[in-house]
Amino acid sequence: MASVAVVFFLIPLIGLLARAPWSDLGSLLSSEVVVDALVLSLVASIAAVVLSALLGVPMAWVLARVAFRGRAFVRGLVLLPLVLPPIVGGAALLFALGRRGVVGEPLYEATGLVLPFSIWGVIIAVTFVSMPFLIITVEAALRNVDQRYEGAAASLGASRWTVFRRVTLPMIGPSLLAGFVLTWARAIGEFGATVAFAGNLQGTTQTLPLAVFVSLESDRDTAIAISLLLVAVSLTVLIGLRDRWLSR
Amino acid sequence: MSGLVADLRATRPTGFHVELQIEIQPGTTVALLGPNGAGKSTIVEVLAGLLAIDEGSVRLGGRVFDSPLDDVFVPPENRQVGVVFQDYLLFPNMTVLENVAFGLRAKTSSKDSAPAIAASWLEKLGIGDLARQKAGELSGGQAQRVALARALSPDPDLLLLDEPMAALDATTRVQVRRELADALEAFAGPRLLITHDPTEAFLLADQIYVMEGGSISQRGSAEEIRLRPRTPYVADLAGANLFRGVARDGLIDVGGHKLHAANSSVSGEVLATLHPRAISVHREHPEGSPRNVWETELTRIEHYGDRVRLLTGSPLVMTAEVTPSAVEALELSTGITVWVSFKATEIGLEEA
Repeated sequence: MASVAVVFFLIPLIGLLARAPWSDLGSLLSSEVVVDALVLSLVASIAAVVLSALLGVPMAWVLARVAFRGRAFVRGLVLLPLVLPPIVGGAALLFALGRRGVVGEPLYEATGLVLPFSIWGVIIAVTFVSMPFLIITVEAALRNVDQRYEGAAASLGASRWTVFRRVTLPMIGPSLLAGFVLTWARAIGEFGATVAFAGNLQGTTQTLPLAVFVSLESDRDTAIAISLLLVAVSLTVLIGLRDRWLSR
Repeated sequence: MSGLVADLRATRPTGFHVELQIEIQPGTTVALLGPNGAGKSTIVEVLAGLLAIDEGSVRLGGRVFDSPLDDVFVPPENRQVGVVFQDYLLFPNMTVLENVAFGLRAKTSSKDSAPAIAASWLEKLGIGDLARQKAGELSGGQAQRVALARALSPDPDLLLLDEPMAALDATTRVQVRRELADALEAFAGPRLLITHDPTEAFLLADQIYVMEGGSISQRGSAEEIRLRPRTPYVADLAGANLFRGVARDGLIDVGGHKLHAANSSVSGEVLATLHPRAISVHREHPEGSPRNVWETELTRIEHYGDRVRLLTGSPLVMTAEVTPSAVEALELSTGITVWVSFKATEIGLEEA
C-alpha cells in the first residue's frame, strides 16, 4: 500500500515534468506576469512571516503560559483558519475590512485607506491563513520547555522579557525556525483567501498561485512553468525542514 | 538584621500540600531533611517566589516576600534569593562565564562589571579554566561549582541549596562537600540546605528540620535528631549511629575509644556510621567473631511499634535496635549493665 501512496504522490509531479516546455522555460519565467507575481508572492509571504512573528509568538506564549478564562475559545479562534476553507476566510475578511465592511467602512472614512484589492489586502489575507501554523508550532514548543530553567533565570533577577529572550527563545529555537518555514510555505501557496479578499489584479494582487489559475485557462505553458517554480520552492523548504522537524 | 522567618501553607498545582514554620538566623545553616516527595523542593519554590503561598507569610530580614492577607507577593526577580537547583539547571546554550554573569547582568549596579565579577567567582571556586566551556558539557562536580558560583555572584540575601550533591558520585562528593562547607561558612545570610542524606545534613547544618509528607515531623540539632528521633520514620532516616574520629590501619579513634573497622583503606579524619540493627545486646560477655565488644549501661528504652531502640552509655553513646521479644527474653530495663557487640564489617567509613 505504501508503494501505491508513493505513486499517488509521484504521478502529478511526473505530469508536470512531462508537459514542461523545457526550452521556453527561461523566457516564460521572465515574462512580466510571472516576475510581478513572483515579487508579490515573495513580498507578501515574507511580510506574513514577519507579522506572524510579531503577533503570533506573543499569542503562542500567552496560550502556553497564561491560564485565563476562555483560553480554549481563543485557541480555537486563532487556529480556525487551519480548518476553514481559505475562500471562506477571504470572504469573511472582505465583509469585515472591505470598503463597506464593519471595520473597513469607518477605517475608509477616517483615513481613506482601502485594504481589499491592494497589496495590503494580499498581506492580510496571506497572514490570516498562515499565522496559525506559527502559533501552533511555537505553543507546542513552549509547552515542552522545562520551565524550571525559566524559574532559575527569574531567581537570578531577570525580568520576564530577559528570561524569554535569553533562556526560552534559545530553547525553542529549532521549533521557531520550523514554524517560520511552515508559515512561509503556507503563505506562498495561498490562493483562496487572497482571491476573495484582494482579488486577482495582475501587477497588484496577483500572486504566483493566482497567476497559475489564470494561465491554466489561456496559456498552459506558463501555468506549468510557474507550477514547476512553486514545486521547486516547496521541495527546497521540505528538504531544509527534514532534519529539524519532519523526521522527528 | 533578622533572618528568614516563614510560617506558610502552600499547594502545588498537582494538589500536593505543604506547610512549614521555620526561622533561620543570618550566618546559620538549616537542613531540610526528608525523602523524595516529602515536599522539600516545593519549599525551595515557595521561598524563591516561584510558587505563591496560600496562607501565612514569608519574610526575610524584615522584608515581606509573601503574605496573602496583606496582598503582598514579591516576584522571584525582586527577591534576591540565590538558589542552587536540583540538577543545577545551568543554561545549556550559554558558556560557564555567561551562566555566572547572568544574575549580575540583571542587576543595574553590576551590569558592566558582570563578566569580571563572574570570572573572579570562578577563580574563587577553582574553576577559572572552565569559563569558556558550554555549560552543557560539564561533569557533575564542575556543574555543581558553576551552579554555586551562579547563585552566589549576585550577592543574594538568602541561599537555598536543593540537593546540591545528589547528582555527584561518591568520590567527588567528599571533595565537593568540603568546598560547600567553606562556601556556606563564607555566606553571611541565612542558608537552607535541602537534602535526603542525613550525613550531609549532620555535617553541614547547625539545625535540622525533618520533613515527611509535606510537613515538619521533628526539628533540632543533629544530636537531638539522631539520639531522640520522634517518629519511626525519623529513626530510620536519621537514627544511624554516627561517630567522628581518626582512622589508622582499620582502627578508628573516637574520643579515645577504639573501634575496629574492616575498611583499612581510609585514614585521617573520618565519619563512621553504624546502623542500630547491626548491634547485638547481651547480658553476659559474648564469645564470637565480632571484634567490637564492650560493657556499658543501658540508659534508655524506647518502643516504636514492632521495634525497640536502646540507648547505651559510656564509653560511646550508641543506639541499638532490637525486637520487643528480645527485650522480654533478656529482661532489659534502664540502668542495667549489658554487653554490646558488632562486627568490624558493619562500620561504614567516609572521609570527613
